[in-house]
Amino acid sequence: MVSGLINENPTVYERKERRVRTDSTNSDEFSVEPIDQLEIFDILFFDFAFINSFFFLTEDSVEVDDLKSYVRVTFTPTVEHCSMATIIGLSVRVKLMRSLPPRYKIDIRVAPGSHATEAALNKQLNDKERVAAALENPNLVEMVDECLSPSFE
Amino acid sequence: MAAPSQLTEHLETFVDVTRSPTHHADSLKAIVASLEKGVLSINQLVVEMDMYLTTTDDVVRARGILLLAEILNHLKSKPLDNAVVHSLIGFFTAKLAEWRSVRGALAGCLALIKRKDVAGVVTATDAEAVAKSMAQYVQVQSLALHDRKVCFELLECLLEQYPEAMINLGDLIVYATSEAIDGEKDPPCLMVAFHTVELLARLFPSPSGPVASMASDLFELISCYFPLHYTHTKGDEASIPREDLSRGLSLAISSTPFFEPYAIPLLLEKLSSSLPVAKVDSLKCLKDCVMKYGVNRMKKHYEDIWSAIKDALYSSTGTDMSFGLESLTSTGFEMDEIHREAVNLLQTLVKQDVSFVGLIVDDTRVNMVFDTISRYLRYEEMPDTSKLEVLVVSQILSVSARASVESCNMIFETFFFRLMNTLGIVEKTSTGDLVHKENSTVSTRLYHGGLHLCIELLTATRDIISSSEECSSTPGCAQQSWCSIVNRFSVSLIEAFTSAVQSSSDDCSADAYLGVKGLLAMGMFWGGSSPVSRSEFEKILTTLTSLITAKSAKTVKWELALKALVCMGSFIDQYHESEKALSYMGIVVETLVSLVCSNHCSLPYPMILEATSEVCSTSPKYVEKMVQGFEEAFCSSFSDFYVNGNPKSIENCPQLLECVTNKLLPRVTEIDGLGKMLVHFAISMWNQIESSVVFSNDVTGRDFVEAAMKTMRQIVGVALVDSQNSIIQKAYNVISSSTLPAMKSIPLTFAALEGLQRDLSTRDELILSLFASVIIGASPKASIPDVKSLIKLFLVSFLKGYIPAAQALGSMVNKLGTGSGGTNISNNCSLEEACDIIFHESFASGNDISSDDSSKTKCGSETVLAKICLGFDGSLDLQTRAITGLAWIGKGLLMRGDGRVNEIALVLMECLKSTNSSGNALHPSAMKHAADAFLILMSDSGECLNRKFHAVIRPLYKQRFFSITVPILESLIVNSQTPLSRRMLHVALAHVISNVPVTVVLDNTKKLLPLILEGLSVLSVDSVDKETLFSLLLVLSGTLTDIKGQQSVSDNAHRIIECLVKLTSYPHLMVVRETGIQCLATLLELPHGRIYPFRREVLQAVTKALDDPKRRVREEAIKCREACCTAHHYTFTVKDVPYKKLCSTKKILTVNGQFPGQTLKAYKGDTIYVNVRNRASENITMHWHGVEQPRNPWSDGPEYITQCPIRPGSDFLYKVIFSIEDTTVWWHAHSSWTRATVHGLIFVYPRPPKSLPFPKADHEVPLILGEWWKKDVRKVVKLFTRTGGDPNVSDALTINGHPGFLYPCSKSDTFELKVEKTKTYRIRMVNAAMNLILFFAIAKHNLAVVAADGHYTKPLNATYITISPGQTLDLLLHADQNPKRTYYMAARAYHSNPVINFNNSTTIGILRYTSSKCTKTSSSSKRYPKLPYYNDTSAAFSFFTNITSLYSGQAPVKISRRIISTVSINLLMCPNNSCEGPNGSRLAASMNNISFVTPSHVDILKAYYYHIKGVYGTRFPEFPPLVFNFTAEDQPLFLQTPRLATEVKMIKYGEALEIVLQGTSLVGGGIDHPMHLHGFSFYVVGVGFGNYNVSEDPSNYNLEDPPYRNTVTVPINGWVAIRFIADNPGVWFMHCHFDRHLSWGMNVVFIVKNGRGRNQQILPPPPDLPPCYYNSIV
Repeated sequence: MVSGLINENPTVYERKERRVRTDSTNSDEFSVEPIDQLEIFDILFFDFAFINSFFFLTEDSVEVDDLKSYVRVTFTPTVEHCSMATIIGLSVRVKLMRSLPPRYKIDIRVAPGSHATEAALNKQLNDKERVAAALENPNLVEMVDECLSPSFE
Repeated sequence: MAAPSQLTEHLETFVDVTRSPTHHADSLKAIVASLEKGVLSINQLVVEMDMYLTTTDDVVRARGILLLAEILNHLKSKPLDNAVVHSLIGFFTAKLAEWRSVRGALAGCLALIKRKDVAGVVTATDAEAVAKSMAQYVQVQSLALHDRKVCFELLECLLEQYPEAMINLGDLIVYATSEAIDGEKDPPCLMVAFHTVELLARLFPSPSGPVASMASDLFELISCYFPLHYTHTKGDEASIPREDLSRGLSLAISSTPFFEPYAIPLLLEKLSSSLPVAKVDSLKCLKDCVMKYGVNRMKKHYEDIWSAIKDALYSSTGTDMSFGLESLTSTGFEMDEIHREAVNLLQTLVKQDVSFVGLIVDDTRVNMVFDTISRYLRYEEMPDTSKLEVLVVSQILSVSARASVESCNMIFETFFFRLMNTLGIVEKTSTGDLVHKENSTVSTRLYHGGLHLCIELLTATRDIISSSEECSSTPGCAQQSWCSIVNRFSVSLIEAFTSAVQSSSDDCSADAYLGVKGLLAMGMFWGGSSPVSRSEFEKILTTLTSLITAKSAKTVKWELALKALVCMGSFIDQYHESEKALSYMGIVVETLVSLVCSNHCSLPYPMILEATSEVCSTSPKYVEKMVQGFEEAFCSSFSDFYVNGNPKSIENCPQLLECVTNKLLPRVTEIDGLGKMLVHFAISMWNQIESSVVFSNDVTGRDFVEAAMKTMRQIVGVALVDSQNSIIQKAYNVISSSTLPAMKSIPLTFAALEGLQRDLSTRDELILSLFASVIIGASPKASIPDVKSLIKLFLVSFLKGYIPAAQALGSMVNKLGTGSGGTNISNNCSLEEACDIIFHESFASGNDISSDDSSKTKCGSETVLAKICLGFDGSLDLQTRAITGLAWIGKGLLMRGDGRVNEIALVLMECLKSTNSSGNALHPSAMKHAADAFLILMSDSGECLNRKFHAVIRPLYKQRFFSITVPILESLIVNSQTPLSRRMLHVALAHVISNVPVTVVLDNTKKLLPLILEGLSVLSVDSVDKETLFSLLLVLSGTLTDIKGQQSVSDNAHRIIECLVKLTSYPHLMVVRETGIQCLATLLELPHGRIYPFRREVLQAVTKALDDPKRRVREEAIKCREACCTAHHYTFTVKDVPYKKLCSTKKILTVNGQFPGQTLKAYKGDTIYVNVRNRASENITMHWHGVEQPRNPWSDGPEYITQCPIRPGSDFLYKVIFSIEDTTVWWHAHSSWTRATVHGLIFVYPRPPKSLPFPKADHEVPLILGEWWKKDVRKVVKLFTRTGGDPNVSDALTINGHPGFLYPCSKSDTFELKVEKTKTYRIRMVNAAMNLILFFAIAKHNLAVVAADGHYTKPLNATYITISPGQTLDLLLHADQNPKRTYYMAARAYHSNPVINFNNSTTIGILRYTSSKCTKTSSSSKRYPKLPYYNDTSAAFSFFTNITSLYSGQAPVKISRRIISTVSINLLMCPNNSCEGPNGSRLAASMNNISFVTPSHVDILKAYYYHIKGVYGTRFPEFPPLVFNFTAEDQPLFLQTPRLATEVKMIKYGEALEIVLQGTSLVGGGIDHPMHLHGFSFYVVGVGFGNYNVSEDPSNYNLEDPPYRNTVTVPINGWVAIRFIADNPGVWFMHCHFDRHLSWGMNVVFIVKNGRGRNQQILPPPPDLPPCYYNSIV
């Protein structure tokens, strides 16, 4: 058994300044504001403020199509064999499931080439049944909730 | 008090260390009080205390001395006899030698030394003795923290108050102090220690004194702290902020010059440290040293210090400069702390000694800058290094120049010429001509760095002037050399700056900035001998002004120039520079004002206005000029418009007027005479209108009219009454000469009014509007001519549709006749008359002229205007206008509190009915206007009738109107016939409700909430009402968040949720959806049971809202969804509330004011959070009885076992984790006996889709059995703990808090359960009694036990039940008896020991069938239940043993450890057999002969978790220490005495334990014991009577389906065996649930250690865990 941390000296990414929404003066009562990249990012940003320093997740890694009800989030684990990648991916998924309308199809994946078991991980994260099964496991749910609890506490 | 016995009692209490600190404090307070009252004298007290002060028992003596000291500390201001003080101080001084009582001795000395200004002060000789004794005996560093602090305070006090005595001591005191400080680490002590060093230094200033001789040692002691490094967390309240301590240290270091040889090198060394804090501290300390040590001592360090300062400045200065507006008057770059301190140090040095400047002058780096600046022309070109050099050098120079006049001179003499040379600027010759150097023009050499340096130096000199002027009245700057130098170069400097500004392009802000800043610097010299002459000053002004006028767009340069001008303007005004003011007026103000008038300027008009108003606002004189200019401009463009019909000319007027209203009017109170000018402005407006009779153009801009009205209203509003009068007069003249008066004669007949249209000419309309504005703004005291005809004019006008007329009429009605003084008599019209005109008279006169007979008859009735409103006659247009007009008039009346408004309100409400009184249907539009009229009535209007316009406002007028109208509207709604009228009524009601202050709504939530909800659903139908809907929704959200509204909100929860769920999809207004969702989120915080049933609905609605088209709604939905899914929160506010029971009222401790407390509800496996807020006067903790709290002992609750108590005023959030609990558990307080009234049930439900293993009942009935004392329970506890006897037995038993009719005064205070025939009821029951096992039964009804202690049991039919304190049962009750009869339920004690007193009364509840038609039940038909007799042990235990677990095979078969413990009552000996237990002894209780002593400072969990030693022992025996026949009838006396100790049992994680509890017959023959274990449920595998036999009894265990419980009853003289797996790590209490036994010590603590796995460890402690007080000596 190897003791010690997997990632003792993590690369801490400099956090990018959040782009502030500029078209907020939209005063038309009946205009539709579709769910966009920034909104998805905002949903994730508050909960993953801490994690975000370690798992590079930027606005650009979010693809969203409101009309087709499709969102894809690509994140980059810091080390190739990061064991937390699954739980992070699951948390991102759970957060989006809770925050987006049910019509959305959510696709979570790790950035190509950033993880040793990339294919397996992607499959795992997007297998509906496996996600559902994972969320039946109270220990896992607790961990996900811990990840999602606001970082200011 | 003074009765000696009482005094002794208090003394005893204080001396007894086992008592709690609060008891100590109480007794101390009592003694002090009697001393202060004079009942007791100090002498008497000392005599009384003699025994305690001299006893050989160390502990008692120490406490006694401490008590005396504490008493003296409280009596600091009480005069005492000198002799007494002398003997006391002598006593304490002597006691200092004794280490055991040193705490008391120190405190006593301090208390006495601190006395001052009262009779009885310690003499100097005594003080000397104290100091000597202290130096000799007290080893400060070996004492505890608190004592050390007292030592230092004592030293401090001695040094401060007895300097002579201390000087006598000489070396001794210095030695003593330094010894005391050596090794000190605690901040509060150090703080005092540093001060003592300072005092010592002050005391011994002589070079041959002890401080001088010991300086090196002393410095070593204190210098080791420098720089202070703090490891304390910031939130630590007890500690001292780092800044304070560091300041103290700095003062200590700088306290005496003798430290200089050691201090300065040390500080310089630390300054080179890389730690920013060290740098800052060193700089601060150096500054102190420079001031204290004196120039001579410091001189030798100058060079080192100078280089250190330089380093600090270079390293801390950033190269980024800001060229923004705000930096125009400041340094222009950010300073960090190091920088600031370095600058401070430099300034101090130069101030102290000018010769320091020499170092700067000779410095090569500084000199080098002057050579390098000429390399770069523009800011952008400069590399960072060069920018840095310039910035730092400019800082150094300006700071040293600022320090003093001499230094300024030196700096200027050395550097300014060089600077000028570099810049290529040459001197002004004596004749004033300029001699240009050959081949050089000024502009070619504008080096940015040079300019910057120049400006910094110039601003520095300005500061010099102001500081020197302040101290000496003669302005002497002219004589100073710097002044003459500046003077010589002033012309060229100004030229240079000017060209810098002008040459720069717009985008290059840096140069423009410098230019403007330079000009500003030059323009801000003041005083007669300023180095800048007037002509030069004017040049500056001209340059800046031209900058402003030349531009056509807003640029940075423009703004900079404007700001500079404003700065100069206010500067001139501040220093009363009359000459310069003239120039300013001539050059700046007049130019700008002429621009306003001329109208032909490239500059956009708003910019002109902005510049003018900004500049002119600097002085009243300019304002005058400006107003004149504005007037002129207005008049010219107005007349141009009317005469020439030029529509363009009026375009600027609204802007001009806006500028007047927004910029000038708010400043009327600040600027003298402005009011008058504005009045003049208003009158000339009227003049203009008057003269412009000819109208060539009929198109008046709407915004012009509005701006004019606004300006006119406000000018009148702020004007004095006299001026108002003149404006009114003028306006009246205009109006009477216009065509308007013709309208006055319009007959007010329907025929005439029918023909009315909005037919006024533009001019007339303007006049009318403006006149209305004048009337609106006028104060009640102003006189209005010809009121009656004006009223008529307005009346006609508003019927024609001119709203301002209605507003003016409302204002008139509001103010009429209320002004004091004679002026308003000339009005010739009282309110009565006015109302008469409005409502009746004018119509009557109109009728005479009218030829229409039909109208005549109709108008004969009373309120004629009202008839129009109601649509009896006239067109719809007329009707709506009349309604709106009526609303304004009503508003005027309403605000002055006039009763007539009620009639108006009635008329308006009449309009809202679907048909009027004569049966005609009202038009929807009229109804809508009537509904909106309520908005006019209730809302605050910005346009008229507010405080600004002198409206008469009666306090609470809205509330009054609210209380009158709401009931009427309510009944109208109930009776409304058509949906339309219902809707309109709701709109009206919504207007009333949403405009009344929220507090009013909150007071009436019960009544209003249904109305609001109905209103919301009615209004949500039509999109027209969206705004009204929104304001009503806001009212609702206000009630949700307020505590006052909470009760009714919780009652109406389902309706509110239903309504809000609908609103989350309201399509017409986004904010409605948003607020609706917010409200839902708020509602989720309501008690769980109320909301839980609706969770699904809420979730669905919110999930739908996740797909809302609007982003903000989606965001709220996400938040709400999260709140919906996460754990549930409750708030428990613990407070005292009076309750009346058994004929008397007493205050009891409650949660949220309820007794018994609220029921919590949760699903199996939930986690809930309960925030306990202690707002009572005693400590409290909360325990969740039967909740296992896996891994979370922190929230378990027993006082001093798992937590220190929550102190009064503080809060603690309990996290209650449900795990295996299935049915009913409960919560109660767990400190002292507070649980007597602080308890409630917890209902646990199976988590869907799981269901109950028994048929679902139709209803659930909470049932709490309790005990009630007439006396305060606290007193009961106090009494029996003091006397050592049995506690008083309770006075009553209760069911759900009701004693039942068998008790006195309790006829109506009887619990009643109404049941329906054939239905099933699930009784969820707990025995919350303090000291009684109870029998309970219901007449004629069988009870089916389905669960016990939170776990399912096999169903057991019983005619009665036995329930021990702490146990819970779930019983099914089938209402299957004759419904015509009434049945009683009853509970009374099971008590097996005849020797012990107990409460043998019976509590009765009623079971009544509701379907019973029989109105009267005869007494014979009532049924009492049969209960077993009090001592029927076999009945009690046959019930217990019949209970079996629902599941089989769960109990541990193999065990790893068996613990056998006796549970026993004991006796403790009392001195002189003075206690009230048997034979004068004190009652106690024990397990394995150890009577548990509860820790009093730290709880065991904290001690275990943080490894605090000495709190508990770990040697609880696994076997009784002495085996004897435990249940024999006679027991030898020696067995009765237990050992007092705090012993715990350590258990490994996962052990399978068996605990056998063996009752004994010691003391009185024994009794049953309900034993409760925290943190676990256990299987009761065996019960038996007599002694437990290890070899035989286990074979008879029930290991198949033993009951699974958390509280088990040990039978009298018998035993029980329980088994469980210790898989819950933590500190778990086990105790007898008879609270008297718990108080006596029948307790033990199990500590289950952590396991290896991640889920086998104690959770981390919560952040808000109540703190413990280690050194609590109150």
